[in-house]
Amino acid sequence: MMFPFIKEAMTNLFSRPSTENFPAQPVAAKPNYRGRISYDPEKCVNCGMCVKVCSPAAITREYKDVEGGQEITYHFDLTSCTFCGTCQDFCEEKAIVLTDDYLMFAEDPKDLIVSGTRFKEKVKGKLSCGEGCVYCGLCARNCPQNAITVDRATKTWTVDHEKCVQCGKCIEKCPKKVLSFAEPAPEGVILGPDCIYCGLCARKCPVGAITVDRPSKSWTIDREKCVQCGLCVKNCPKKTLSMGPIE
Amino acid sequence: MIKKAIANSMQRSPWLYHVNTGSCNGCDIELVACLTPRYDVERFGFKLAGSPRHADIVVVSGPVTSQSKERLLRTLEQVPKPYCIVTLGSCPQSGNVFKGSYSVEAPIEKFCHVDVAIAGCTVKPEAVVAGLYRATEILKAKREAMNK
Amino acid sequence: MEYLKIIFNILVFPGCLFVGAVGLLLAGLDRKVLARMQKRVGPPVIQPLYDFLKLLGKETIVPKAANRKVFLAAPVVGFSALVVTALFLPVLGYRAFEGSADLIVLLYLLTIPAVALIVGGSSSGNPYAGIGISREMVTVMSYELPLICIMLAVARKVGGSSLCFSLSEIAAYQQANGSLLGSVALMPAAVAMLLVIPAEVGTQPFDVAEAETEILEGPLIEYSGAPLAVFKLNTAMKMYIMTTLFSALFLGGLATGVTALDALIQVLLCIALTLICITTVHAVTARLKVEHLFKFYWTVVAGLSALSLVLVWLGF
Repeated sequence: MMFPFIKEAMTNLFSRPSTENFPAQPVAAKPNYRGRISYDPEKCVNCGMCVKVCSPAAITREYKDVEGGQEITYHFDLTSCTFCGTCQDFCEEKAIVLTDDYLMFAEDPKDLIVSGTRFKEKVKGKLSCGEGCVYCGLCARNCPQNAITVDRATKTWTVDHEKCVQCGKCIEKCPKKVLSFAEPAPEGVILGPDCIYCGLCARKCPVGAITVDRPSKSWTIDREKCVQCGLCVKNCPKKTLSMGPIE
Repeated sequence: MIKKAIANSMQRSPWLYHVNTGSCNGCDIELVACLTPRYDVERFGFKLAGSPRHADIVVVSGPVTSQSKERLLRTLEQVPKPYCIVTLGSCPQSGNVFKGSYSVEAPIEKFCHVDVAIAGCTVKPEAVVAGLYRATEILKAKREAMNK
Repeated sequence: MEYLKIIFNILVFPGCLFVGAVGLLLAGLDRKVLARMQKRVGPPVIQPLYDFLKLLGKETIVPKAANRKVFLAAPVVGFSALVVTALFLPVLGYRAFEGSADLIVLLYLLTIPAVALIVGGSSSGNPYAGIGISREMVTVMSYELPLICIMLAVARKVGGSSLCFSLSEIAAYQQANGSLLGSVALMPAAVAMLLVIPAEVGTQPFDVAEAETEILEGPLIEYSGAPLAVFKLNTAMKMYIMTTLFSALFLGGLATGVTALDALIQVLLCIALTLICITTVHAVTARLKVEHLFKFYWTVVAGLSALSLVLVWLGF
């Protein structure tokens, strides 16, 4: 019978143990550790790339219509996440960061879901007056910006769209309920004059809506696919793309 | 007074029994890494027991495959009360990347109540130590509830 | 008055309480020192007490295939045999029961806990337990022969041609002539005894019977709750009993006369012996397979003790 480790056993007996003193002393994770996800809804542009690339389908997005707009919530389910960091790699706005917090345990799995909500304001269209206006002038008197002009005698009603801040007071006060905001003009990506057909916008587009052909100098966008994230606008080297109303 | 001593000992001497229900072994490796000198979970009294009848905390890893689900349930029936179930990683909770497969029956909440869920893929040993420590507190509470 | 003294002996000193407490202390020190040898912090020294109390708080499950009466009675039989053994062993100067053939009674009593483990394991009706008890039987057969030879050698040395099996006379001989460890003829017997102790206690490298990871705890696989607690206590008490036996046979003659001081010195001796022959051997070796264990005990250890026997019979 051989006793090969007896020297080690004796030296170890009289030396300090090599156990790290956790949980009495906190231990930091190594750099670049991929731990708990942190999501900043303010930076998010709702492109949806993270939902597309997540391999265990741990990221979900839900829309909720509220007064004045829409609430967009992203849920990152840590009990489904495989911590690969692909969402972090693909997020252009760096809204998703895998921190070095490794202490993720809970008695209720619902505590292990990281969520963030962004409120997207609904863009209102222009103020317009419909049939049945009696030119009472109540709207003009209640407008805090004095944007409405009503002339009873000539039966005219005009609004200065530059001054109007779309507060909606006039709509509340109108006795005949003929005032309303029109449907907003749809917004989309508009191509400017300086395009050099480099194709960067097509490459950065998360949904593949843009097609650029350098030889024939053509730039097309599929409006159905576009999610208005604005990544193409940000990355255009000639700053010739912009987000604006389209017909 | 003896009952109080017994409840206290429940917290200080939890024996672990590990069940692998189809795991990739990543979480299993991190669990046995906890028994190595660096993380040394034995200083809290933890010990790997060989038989489910000796277990206090059942540690489950792996998405519960269809073949192992019946065996897991049979094993859990053999564990004497009071006991806790701790899941390692995201596989038992949701199936992770194996979600929707024809042979994976995660989440494990469908057939047994999980006391502590430790998230990670794979879990860090310190997180396992912290999670197991929380499980011992739950064990003590269960024992005290049994006393009443 | 006599009955009160006997009850005190059985229940407190050197009976249940004393042996149980010192046994748990030895088991705890064994785990702690083992951990330190492996460069870990290790459990607190009273960890076996926490284990015992925790097991009392778990529910006892008796499997349907098991023989209920034998299943529950086996650990109690082992425990009572160990308590009686402890009553026969002297705590240096103090003796609870004495007789003229102590060693022979001890030899029989020491087999009872092993048999209780075997019977308990076989009554549980589990095939893993079956493998465990067959290995335990081989282990018992292996260490019994050296133990008998050692006891015969000591008896012959102390008593001359009429063998002396009484522990009090062995102690008196050692007080008069110096400890038996010093005599050349009994040196191989002492080494053989140091090798028998880990096998009796069931610690590595001789713990094939209760191989944790291999056959899922062997005979104890179906035990849970209070019976398991008693079995673990038996293992702890055996540590104390075997080391006390060693100190009674080979290190006698250290009695001071004051019972409390004797008890303290005895506990310290047991601790030292545990650290030498149980913990160190555990830390530096791996588990032996059952055929290697058999071969080891029947060649090396039996050879050493037989050598001692021959030397003593030739008059050295």
